[in-house]
Amino acid sequence: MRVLSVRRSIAFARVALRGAEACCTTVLWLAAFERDAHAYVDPGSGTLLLQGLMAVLFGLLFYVRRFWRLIRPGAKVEEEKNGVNRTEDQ
Amino acid sequence: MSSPDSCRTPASFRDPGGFLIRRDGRLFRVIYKPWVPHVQRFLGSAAARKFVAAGSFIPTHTLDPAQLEPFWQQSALPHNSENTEIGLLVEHEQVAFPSFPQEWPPEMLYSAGRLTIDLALALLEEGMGLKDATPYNVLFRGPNGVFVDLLSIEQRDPHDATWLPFAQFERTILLPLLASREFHVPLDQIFLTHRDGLEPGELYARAGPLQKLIPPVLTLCSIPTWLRGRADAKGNSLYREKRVGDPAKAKFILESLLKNLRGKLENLKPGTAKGSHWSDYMASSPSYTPEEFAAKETFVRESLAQFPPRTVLDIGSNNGHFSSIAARAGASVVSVDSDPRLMGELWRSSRAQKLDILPLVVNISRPTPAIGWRNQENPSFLERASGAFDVVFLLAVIHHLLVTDGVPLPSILEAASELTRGIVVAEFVGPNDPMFRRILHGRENLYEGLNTRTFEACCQPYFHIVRSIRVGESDRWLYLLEKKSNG
Repeated sequence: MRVLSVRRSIAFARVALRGAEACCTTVLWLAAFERDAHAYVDPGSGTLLLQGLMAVLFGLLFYVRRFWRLIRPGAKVEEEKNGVNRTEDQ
Repeated sequence: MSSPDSCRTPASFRDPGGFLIRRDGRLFRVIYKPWVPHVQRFLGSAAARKFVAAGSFIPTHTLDPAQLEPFWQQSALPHNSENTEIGLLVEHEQVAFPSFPQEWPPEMLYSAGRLTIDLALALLEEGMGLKDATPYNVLFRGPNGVFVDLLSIEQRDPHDATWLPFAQFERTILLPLLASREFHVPLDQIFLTHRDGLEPGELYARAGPLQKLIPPVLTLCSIPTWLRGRADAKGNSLYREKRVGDPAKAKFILESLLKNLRGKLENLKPGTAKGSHWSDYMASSPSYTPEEFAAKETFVRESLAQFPPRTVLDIGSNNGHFSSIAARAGASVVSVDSDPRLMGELWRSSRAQKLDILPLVVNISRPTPAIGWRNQENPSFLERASGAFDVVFLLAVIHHLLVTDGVPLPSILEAASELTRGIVVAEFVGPNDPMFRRILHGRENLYEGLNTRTFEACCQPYFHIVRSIRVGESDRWLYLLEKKSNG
C-alpha cells in the first residue's frame, strides 16, 4: 500500500513536471520548434493564429486529462464507457 | 505515342503530387515519385477499405507498371526535377455526372464537409492526414458524396500539431454555409466568383454589431478578423511548422481541432425548408385536378416503360415528383431547379429513400458557366449534360422559359434535342392556362398565336412525335418526342 502511494506520488510529480513543461511550451509554442511548413493550400493568417491558440488550449487539456486520470483512475474507465477516444495515452 | 500531358485533364494542374489523365473513356492518375509512399500507405489502410466499402471514397486500383507503356514513352516526359518523375499510375472509377459546389444546395455542401472531416479523423488514427480540405475534393453519385482526390491524402509528421487546411475548410465550407444561413447568399454567388471560398473579413463586414459578438459569427469571422493584424505582424514566422515533442499530444491536438470543426459544421447544418416561391407550386397549382395530375403521371410512367432509360435529366423538377418516378423505374436521375430550398429538400428525401437522384441548383435559362483557369477547371453545365441523357423531362417548364425568360420556342426544342440522346417528355402549356396567364404580366399580345400546332411545328426539325395527350380539359398537352437521327 505504501509502495503504491510512493509510486503514485512519483507519477504525480512527473505529470506535474509535464504540466509545467506544457505551460512553458504553450508560451514558446508559436516561436519554438519551428521549421519551414510545406503548405499546399493558403493556411490563412488570422485563422491560422486562432488555430495556434486553440492548439495551445488543447495541449493544456491533454495534460489536464492525464493528470485527472492519474488522480482518478476510474475516470479512464468512465471515459471509455462514454466513448471518449484515449489513443493519445497509448 | 502520346505523352501524358496531351491527355491531361485541364483542371488538373494545382496539385504538386501528380495529375489526372483521361484516355479511351478511362480516368487515370499519375503520381510523382515523392508521393508514391503516401498513396500506397493509404490504399493499403483500413480507412481506405472502410470508406471505399461505404461508397464514400472513389474506388481506385494501381496499374501494373507494364501497363504504363501503352500510354506514353517514359522518356518523352517533361521532367522539371526529381519531384516530377513519375512513380505510379492508378485508375479511378468515374462519377457519371460531375457537379460542383456552385450547383449544390447547402445540404450537399454540409454533406461534403462532413465527409471531409470524417475522413480526416479516420486517417488520423492511421498516421495520415488531408493536405487540403475543399468541397472540390467531393463529387456526388446520386445524393451520396464520394471523396475523389487521392492526392489529398498524405502521411503526417507525428510531431506536427497544425492542420494546414483548417482555414481552407472554414473558407470553403463553413463560411459559405454561414453566408447562406445568416445572410441568405446563394452558394452559386459565392463559388462562381470565389474559388477558394470566403474570407472571414468579408462576412465580418456584413454582420451587425451584436451579431459579431455571438457565435458562429464571433468564432468564424470576428476573432480571425481581429487576429489578422497581429498575424500579419508576425510575418513569415507564422507559417513555420509547429512541432511538439510528444506525438500523442500532437495527435490529441489535431483530433480536438477536427472535432471542433465538426461541431461548428453541425451547428451550421441546414434545417428543413420553410417554403419558398416554388415549393408549394405543385400543391397549390390550380392547373391540375387530381384526375388530370394522375393522367400526367400515367403518361410519364408509360413513356418510361416504352423507352426504359438509364439516365434522365429532369429540368425544372420542382419537388422532384417526376424525378422520383424515374428513379424508382431504375434510372439515374439528374434533377435541376433554380430553387435551392427545393433541391435541398429533394436531396434529403432522395438520401432517406435511397433514390438515385442528384439534385442540382441550376437555372436552365442561365446554366452554370465554365469557370476557373482558362475557363477549364469546371466545365459548364451544358458541356457536361449535352448528349448525356437517354430521357429529358420538360414538364411544366417550357412556358416559364418562353414567357419569363423570353427564350424562343424553337430554341428551347433545339436545346432539348442537344441534351437528350433519345427521348423528351415535354409538357406544352397554352396561353389559356391559368398559370400561363399568371406569368404574362400584360404581355398577352406576344403569345396570341401560340397553340399546339405551333409547338408541333417547332418540334418537327428535331423530333418525331411518338404520341401526345391533352391533360383533361386543361390547356396542357403532354408529348412523347423521339429525337430524329439528324436532330
